[in-house]
Amino acid sequence: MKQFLTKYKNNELSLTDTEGVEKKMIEAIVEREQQQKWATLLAAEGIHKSSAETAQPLKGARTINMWRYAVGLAASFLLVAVVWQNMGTTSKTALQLADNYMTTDRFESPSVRMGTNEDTKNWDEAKNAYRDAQFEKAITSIGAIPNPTTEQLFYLGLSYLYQKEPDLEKAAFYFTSNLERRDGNFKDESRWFLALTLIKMNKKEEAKSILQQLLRMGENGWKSKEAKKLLEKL
Amino acid sequence: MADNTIQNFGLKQTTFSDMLNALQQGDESLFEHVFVKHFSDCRSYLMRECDASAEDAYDMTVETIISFRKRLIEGKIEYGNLRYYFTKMAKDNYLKLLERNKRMPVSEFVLNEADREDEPSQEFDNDQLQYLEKAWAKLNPDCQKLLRSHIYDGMQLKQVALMLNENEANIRKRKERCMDKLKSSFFDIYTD
Repeated sequence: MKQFLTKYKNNELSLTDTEGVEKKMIEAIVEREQQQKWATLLAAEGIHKSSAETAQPLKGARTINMWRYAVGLAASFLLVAVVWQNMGTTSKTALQLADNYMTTDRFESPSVRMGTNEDTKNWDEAKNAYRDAQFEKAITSIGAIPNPTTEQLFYLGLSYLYQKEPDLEKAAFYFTSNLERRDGNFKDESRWFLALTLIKMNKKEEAKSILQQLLRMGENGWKSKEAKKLLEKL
Repeated sequence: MADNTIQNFGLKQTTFSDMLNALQQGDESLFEHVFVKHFSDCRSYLMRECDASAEDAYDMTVETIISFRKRLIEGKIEYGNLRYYFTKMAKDNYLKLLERNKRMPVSEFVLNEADREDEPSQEFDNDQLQYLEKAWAKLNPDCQKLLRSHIYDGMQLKQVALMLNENEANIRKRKERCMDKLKSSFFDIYTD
């Protein structure tokens, strides 16, 4: 391009080449302008290029402030560190895939969908904190609920998974606890996130066993396609 | 008549026409609204179906939105199954990216870079782009709109004249002046 520009500057190009250079100039500017515009529009909707920032399992987050951005950035570094530490013998592609699923499975914001208890104050606080990606605060609030429901424990597990310093052991513990409860709520959801957590912990065999359970409903089962893909990579 | 709004990002044919008209008039608000809303679907699709990384899927979705917008303005896309078309474009873009990366493994890339020193590149480097941006910022918004619509979006000068409520001859002259201004501002700061 350097040579073209020199000739363009000195008016040494043919009319066609001049138009070609000018077209390239405008295209380069407008495309960069468009990319910047879309990055801004998407950021305002909580959508970022970095996977860990997008990994916040929230929907409809419209206001992003610098604090949240900083938290997201810090979380991304920690997530990478945890993945790096746990790479071990697990194949890289399975880890990448698990990471991708953690990003895309932006699990819906907590609500009282199934089961409830009287501790609405702590649960409301936890829900708000979770929606604002303040996972440590969500953990404290859910922890203060005397008899948490399955849903609340599920979000407790997610909060441990997505917090600034992911605590994979605790996340796995709460997802597992949910599977042992008698009610039928959040079972497949807990299985799915337990499998992702176990992959990050390099517990391949346990992850495989959980993923197999997600395939029991056949091809139409919830997350069965994704589970199959992960199994192929493990 | 079957309801095919789902295949068309929730747009009815009339709304699609409105969006197209608005885009051709320089109003991108409806287009932006629709594609911000569907961004994550496309990104997730690339990650799920092509195993793209979150970053690549983001870049390819943005790239697809930009080229989709351009094609819409050029009248190359018709109402029917916009979602399928868009997703296919995104997948193609991602496959092209893979192809580019595959063609250029690290060792080969280093070698090619060395070999290509004297070969003229067809693309702007980062420094050139920054100077271009500075020169662009010196143009007034009307000039920017004119050059963007005519040169980037490929609109006829006649259409641009209509959009800017001017006659075609004036617009033609103004386009020359705007381009000259961009060129001189660029070469004021760019030295090879």
